Amino acid sequence: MLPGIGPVNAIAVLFPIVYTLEVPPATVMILFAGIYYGSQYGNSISSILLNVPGTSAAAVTTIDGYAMAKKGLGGKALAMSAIASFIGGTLSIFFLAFFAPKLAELAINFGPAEYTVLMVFAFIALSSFSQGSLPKAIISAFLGLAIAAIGIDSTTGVSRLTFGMMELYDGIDFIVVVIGFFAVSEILIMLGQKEGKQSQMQPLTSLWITFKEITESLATSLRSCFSGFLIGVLPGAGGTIASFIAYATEKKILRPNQFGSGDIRGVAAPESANNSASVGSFIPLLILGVPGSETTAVMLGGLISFGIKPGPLLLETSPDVFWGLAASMFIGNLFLIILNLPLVGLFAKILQTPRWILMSLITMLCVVGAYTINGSEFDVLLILIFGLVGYFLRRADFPLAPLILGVVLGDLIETNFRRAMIYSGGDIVIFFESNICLTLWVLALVSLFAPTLINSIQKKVHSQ
Amino acid sequence: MRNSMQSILGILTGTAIAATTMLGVAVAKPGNTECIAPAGAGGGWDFTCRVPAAQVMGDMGLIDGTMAVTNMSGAGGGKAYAHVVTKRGDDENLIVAASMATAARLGQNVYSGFKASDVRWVGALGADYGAIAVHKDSQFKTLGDLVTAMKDNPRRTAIVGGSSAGGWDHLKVLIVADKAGISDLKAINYISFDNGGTAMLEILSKRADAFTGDISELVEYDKQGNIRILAILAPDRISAVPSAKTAKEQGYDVIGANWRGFYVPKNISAARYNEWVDIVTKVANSSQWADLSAKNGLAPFTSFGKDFENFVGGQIGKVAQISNDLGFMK
Amino acid sequence: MKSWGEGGADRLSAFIILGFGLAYGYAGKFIQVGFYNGDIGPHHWIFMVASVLVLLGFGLVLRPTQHQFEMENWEDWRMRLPLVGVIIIYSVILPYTGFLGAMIVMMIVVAKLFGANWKQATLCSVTLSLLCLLLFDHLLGISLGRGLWLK
Repeated sequence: MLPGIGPVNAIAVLFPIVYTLEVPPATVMILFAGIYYGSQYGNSISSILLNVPGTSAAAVTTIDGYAMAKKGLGGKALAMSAIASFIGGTLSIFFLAFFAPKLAELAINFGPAEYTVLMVFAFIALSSFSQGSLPKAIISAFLGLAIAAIGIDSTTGVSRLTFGMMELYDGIDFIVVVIGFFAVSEILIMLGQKEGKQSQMQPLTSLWITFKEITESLATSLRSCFSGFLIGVLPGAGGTIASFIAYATEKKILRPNQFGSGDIRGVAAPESANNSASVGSFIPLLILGVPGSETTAVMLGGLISFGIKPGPLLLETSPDVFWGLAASMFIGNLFLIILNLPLVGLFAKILQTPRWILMSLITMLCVVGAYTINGSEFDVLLILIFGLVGYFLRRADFPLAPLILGVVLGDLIETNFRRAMIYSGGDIVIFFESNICLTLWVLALVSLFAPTLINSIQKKVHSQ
Repeated sequence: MRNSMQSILGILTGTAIAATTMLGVAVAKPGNTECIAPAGAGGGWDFTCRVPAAQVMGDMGLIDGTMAVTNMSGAGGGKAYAHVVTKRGDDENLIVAASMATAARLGQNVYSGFKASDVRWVGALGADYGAIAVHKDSQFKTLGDLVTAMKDNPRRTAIVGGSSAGGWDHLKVLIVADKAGISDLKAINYISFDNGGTAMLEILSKRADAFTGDISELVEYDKQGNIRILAILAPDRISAVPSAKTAKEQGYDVIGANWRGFYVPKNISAARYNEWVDIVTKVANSSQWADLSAKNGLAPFTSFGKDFENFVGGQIGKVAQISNDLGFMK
Repeated sequence: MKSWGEGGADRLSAFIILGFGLAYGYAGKFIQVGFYNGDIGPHHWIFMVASVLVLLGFGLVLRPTQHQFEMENWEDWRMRLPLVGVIIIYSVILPYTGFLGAMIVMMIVVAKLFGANWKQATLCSVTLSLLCLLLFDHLLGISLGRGLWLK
């Protein structure tokens, strides 16, 4: 499936609203996290009932989920997915609350050189794990850096590449970039697709799940939660890999099983891992300022425009953001399970809304979203330009996640690089001196070779 | 197609969750007053927004509700300046923290061609004298030690500060170096950070050798005994940092005063501008502010409205001249 | 590690990247560099980004990656160009007509493009635009563009 108007766009469209409303950053973060969560659950509905995973992370859920739905057990699968998500999501929040302060203690050791290498690591990890070829991913990242450099230079205050246009002095808002490259290009792609044959929607059956089924899959949920969290913490890895690995592991461990032909534990494993990974991915986002996925990259951009710098100092400077988020994720989890189980029928109905209504609504939200950031028509034209560029980049198989990361981190990586170079008097050795730098370089190398490993695991899952 | 549906599901659930969780968190009312601190949390501009603006104005009931503080760092205040001029030109509820550093950048014409006349200057409510500090374990015991190091090994003596390259914090070091007879001022290794707070971290972690900034940025660290203030650039000693010697005492006759104040967007109504001037005047004359400013190492200094606009103009001219004399303005 | 691949059909995009990199670096030469220390000025970063783009673009020209490139179906642009056009029209007429007028025009075209009939398109665009105006302008107090007569 194309990565597209999923949670990324939901956040991008809502962002200008909360920005103009001057909602406190903690609340905004919670809202974003809620969307991130909510859309993940939305994904599991279409995965199970329609056999269509909205994002790659939900792909594994379709294997056993749709098989169950075909047997008339769709309701059971949905209930299991909600419960497993709850277990994965809730437990991992405790991991988050436990690990984050420990990581934050490293804060003082992060100087400009360490930050630079950290961000290089983030770029390598994200480029390496995104779809398409590595050079294309790197090109995409540098296109992002190129966009980010427009506007006033943070170090010296001179304006760069503004061509005398007032609208560009302030730089290009990253939300404009996100709406353009993701949403508008997605609309353009959809315009080319004929209304294809709809996959058969399986009827929603009773959600009733027995206590025995829950206890049977409890061990699976717990194991998957743990591994999912660890994988989620790695920048760039995220939910897709976590769900694949959890599924593959459970398939190995549990004998006998009916994985592949509608085993309820085959739904529990990826759902628990996926949710736990998304909590885990908040650690690199909040503590290191390094997002692990498109969605968290967009959240990072959001925080930065609120004047909050995610990074080792966040726990000290904005504890309300961090702990508010952790608390809200817990409440959010509870809320999801209480609200979603009764409402699942309604959500399934929304999936059948005519496409022209949905697409009109989305087009409107894009245009309105771009306009409200600065109240300027210029930004509406920009999303169109970025949409066209994004369309051709996607056609040519360039991954867009590195581009967004480039836009979000462009200014930070540049200033830190320049600071480090001034420190060392122009000597590049500074990026290899400290232990933190060296560790990060090793991690970067590992992530460069990790996709090969993951690929073989994925092949195993599919072939068995 | 399916993706778009998910986004809608996402928005629905997300909003629902946020709506419930928001109840536990503070909710801001729209249309409130806002103060932009053109730097990150922890520096002088941030202080100007948080204490005299948000806190004192709120406590005295001069504004409705609470004032939101937005940190917008970048380009030594240039990012915020460009933002206010190009995007917020008629925002009646916006004030922006300013200081000598703002005037310095305008004087050097490095705000991308924006002029002092692109905004309206409201008033100043205190002055902050410059200071140079090092880590408590540093090899530099006096200002003289640091000057010698800058002379002998400029490339390896890292000096950090919260203003951008060429900005006010940088200028203060250069003026001291100039007085000490160092000729190659461009070789002096100044590294700019978003604000005094992040620059100070570099000192605490011993990555940098010296810090240049203002006294108010040092008071807390000095109390905790983490740093040693080599010199303050004030005419006399300051009560908030009693043990710190002035530069003059050590034979370098340099005084660097950094006034702190506000500007507002240019195209607001005259009535609203006068209201802001009035509010800032009331704050400056209040006993609450007198108390808070002394505690934070600020010296009394006030100027409002028309007088202040002329004063800023004069300061800008002065900086332009110093920058020319030091030889790094084109 | 992912392979650099061999053979394929994306030389064109590589040439475009290459060209963009050159143009970007060239534009960087016109930056009015002020005072900077430490040997790295505001223009050097631009040059670095530009040269990486040029290098990778060049590399991709020499060794394009292997991927199944579907020929662009230019027929589809008969659907896409109206969308592009209508967004441009929106941003041009917005200052004159205000949000409601411009958005209704745009939405009718978009709904038509996605297969609605005239009645559906009109109904959908008017309802959604009104809802949006109500939400933003009246409830949230965010202006969506007032137009000439409401100034």
